Amino acid sequence: MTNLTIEARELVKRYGSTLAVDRFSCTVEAGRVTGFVGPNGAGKSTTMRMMLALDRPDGGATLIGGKPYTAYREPARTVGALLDPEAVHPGRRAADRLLWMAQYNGIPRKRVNEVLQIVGLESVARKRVGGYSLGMRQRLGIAGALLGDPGILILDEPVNGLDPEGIRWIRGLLKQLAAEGRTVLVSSHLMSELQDTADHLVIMGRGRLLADTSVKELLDRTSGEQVEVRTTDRAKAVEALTLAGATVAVTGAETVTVSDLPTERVVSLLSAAGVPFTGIGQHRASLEDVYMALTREHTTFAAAPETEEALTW
Amino acid sequence: MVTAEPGLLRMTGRALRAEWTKLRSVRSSGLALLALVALTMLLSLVGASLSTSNANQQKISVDQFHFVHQPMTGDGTVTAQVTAQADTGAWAKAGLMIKDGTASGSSYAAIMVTPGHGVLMQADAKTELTERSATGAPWLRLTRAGQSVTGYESADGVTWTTVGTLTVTAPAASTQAGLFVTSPPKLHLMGEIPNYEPVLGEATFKNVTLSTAHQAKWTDTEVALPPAAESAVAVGEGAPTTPVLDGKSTWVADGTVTVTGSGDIGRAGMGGINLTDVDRVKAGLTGIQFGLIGAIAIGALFITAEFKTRTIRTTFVARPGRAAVLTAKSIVLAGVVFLTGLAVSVAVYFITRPMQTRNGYRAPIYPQSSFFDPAVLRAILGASLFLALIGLFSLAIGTIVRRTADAIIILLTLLVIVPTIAGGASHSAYAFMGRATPLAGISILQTIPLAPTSTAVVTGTWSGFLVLCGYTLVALVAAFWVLRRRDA
Repeated sequence: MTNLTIEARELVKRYGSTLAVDRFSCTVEAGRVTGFVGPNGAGKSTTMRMMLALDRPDGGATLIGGKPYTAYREPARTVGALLDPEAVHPGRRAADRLLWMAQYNGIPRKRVNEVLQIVGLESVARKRVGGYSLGMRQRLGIAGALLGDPGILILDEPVNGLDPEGIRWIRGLLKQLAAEGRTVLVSSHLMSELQDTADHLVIMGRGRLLADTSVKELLDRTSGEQVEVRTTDRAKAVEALTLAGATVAVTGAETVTVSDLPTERVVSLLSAAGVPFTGIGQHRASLEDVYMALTREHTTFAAAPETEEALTW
Repeated sequence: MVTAEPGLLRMTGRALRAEWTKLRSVRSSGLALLALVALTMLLSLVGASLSTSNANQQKISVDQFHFVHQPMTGDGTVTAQVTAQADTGAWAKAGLMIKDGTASGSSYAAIMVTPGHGVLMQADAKTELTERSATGAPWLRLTRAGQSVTGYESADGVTWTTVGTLTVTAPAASTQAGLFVTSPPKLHLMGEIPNYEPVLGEATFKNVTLSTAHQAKWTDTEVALPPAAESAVAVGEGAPTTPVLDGKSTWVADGTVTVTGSGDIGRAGMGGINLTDVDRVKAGLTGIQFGLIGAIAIGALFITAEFKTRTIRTTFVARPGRAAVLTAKSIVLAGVVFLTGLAVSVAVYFITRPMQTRNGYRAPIYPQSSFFDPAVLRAILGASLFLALIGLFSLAIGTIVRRTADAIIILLTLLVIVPTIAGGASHSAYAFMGRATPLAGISILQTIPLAPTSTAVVTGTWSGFLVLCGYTLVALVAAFWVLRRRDA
């Protein structure tokens, strides 16, 4: 059985005094879509470039299919990568761009037409890439990644710039590729882009690994039993519940959130203490909430506008 | 389905095809090659149509030297041993002369030694005989019989070898005979404008005898053109005329005489005298000095465009072996520029040759070149190689500096702007450009070595070209080094 894992071991990358990647380790397995998420500047792209031997790590190593990327003579047949859809020569025709990539890897010319068909660009194959929209360039980049029919795909923000139809298309494609047994690593700075697609998540913040977990585990772990209580006497409610050993967080003017206690117990405790409450409900955290909580303190550009997002919508 | 890993040869073949696809699939490559062709053509054609010569209609002769002489009426023989000659130039001349009076330009016959070209015999700046002589301190003899003058040389003054017999127009009545020394000036070219630096030659003679010894005293005469005469025009551009340093003779008691003198004798095409514009093949191909702008553009852009668009990452993802990528780029680029350069060089040669002939550049002073002459083929192939090397040099600089604008500015400054300014500034700066910068490679265009010694050819045909090869090699090594080390 071919090894199709992507492995990062204690990766370190420095840019001057900035530690962009800080002892980052993870293993990406085959047969599932692994979402690689983290805020802008978390170090995702740098990590991906190190996986592809574009950037030299200051420490640690990456292995793709069990060996370093530089050991591949025909890398496109094992690894398909999309790093930056804008990294194209605007004066070159799409077909020619794919052709030279194919030629480097000894891939026959007819495969160029095949991948152009897969991504739906066959009608504009002879057009110069300068006239392409971001969505079209994204499709061209994916075509390039698929050229060698690789077992491993590394895609940096592939959803960026796609229209809703395109987004649905790429989600389907990613799931299909994973279902075929391939390793699919997809990065995004928006959890919402991946929550319906990814089976597994690697979360990165400020260069560090924050979580390497399945989507389900992450949801279970963090959401736990949470009960939201609406009350006019917040202070008294907090006191009563805390005494019973619950963790209580004040989440609004008239709301508190209770962890570690089942709903029934909360109701009985509040009733016994004579605390008035107008509403009570189970609160289930979305993946987005979990992600926000995880990365809040690891956001490099918290207040800055999300430029990539601006491009997207 | 696991197939065998491709070998180095196939890997290289793939890289070459991929880089060729890249080069041909963007418009800028075609534009740069078009610029190469158009600029080369333009400068060559403008040069060929604007420059004219009437040298063939003029008397391109020179007759300047220091003469130590006595009258020799009728037939007679003059003999001397040249015991030493200062090496002031390969064509410095020292020997014996029979001359109609002492005016510059009058009829003469002479036999002489040169430091670089053996024994020469000349008559009336019309005929010349050459003989490679290996003797250390040769004896020379000149014998007049009527209008025929025969030259001899000997290693020992006993056994004489005939160099040849030439006919002179000098009347027997007024002839002067004796020793002469001259040495051509050094030529400095500033652009196409010649400047001459006079050189004083020196030779020592012994055993000087004159058969018709009339016991007259030896007279010193500085044979030189009268300053205001037709000389300036008559001698023409390129032939070394002025300025001239005064020579003298110093006798020692044992009959040894040391003579110094400056100038030259002969005419264009004789005695090592050439017009500076005699190399018409080089002049025809001069356009590549502009055309190299196209080579700079295609060479630099071939890699800087990848840095600018970050396509370089896609390249290194497709082929992680960075050295292989740059090697493939180098080969593809050099091949494309060479073939384009070859096409334009051949075209320029055949287009400018008839234009030059129409403009007065014809035989005998400007012998028509032949395409299959090895020197001409070397110049044409050399012009193409020159452009290819400039392209490679630009690729290397582009790899190192990465930004298109930076690379183009550096290269244009180094290879076009500075040389243009230096060419007009001082001949030492110009000579430096032609000797020590990548532009020294232009020396490969030479089909006729210029003499007298000129700064324009201080680089030999190949040595200047090797300077360019050296620069290109160093730049490429640096480019490989940084490309492998840096993050993409």
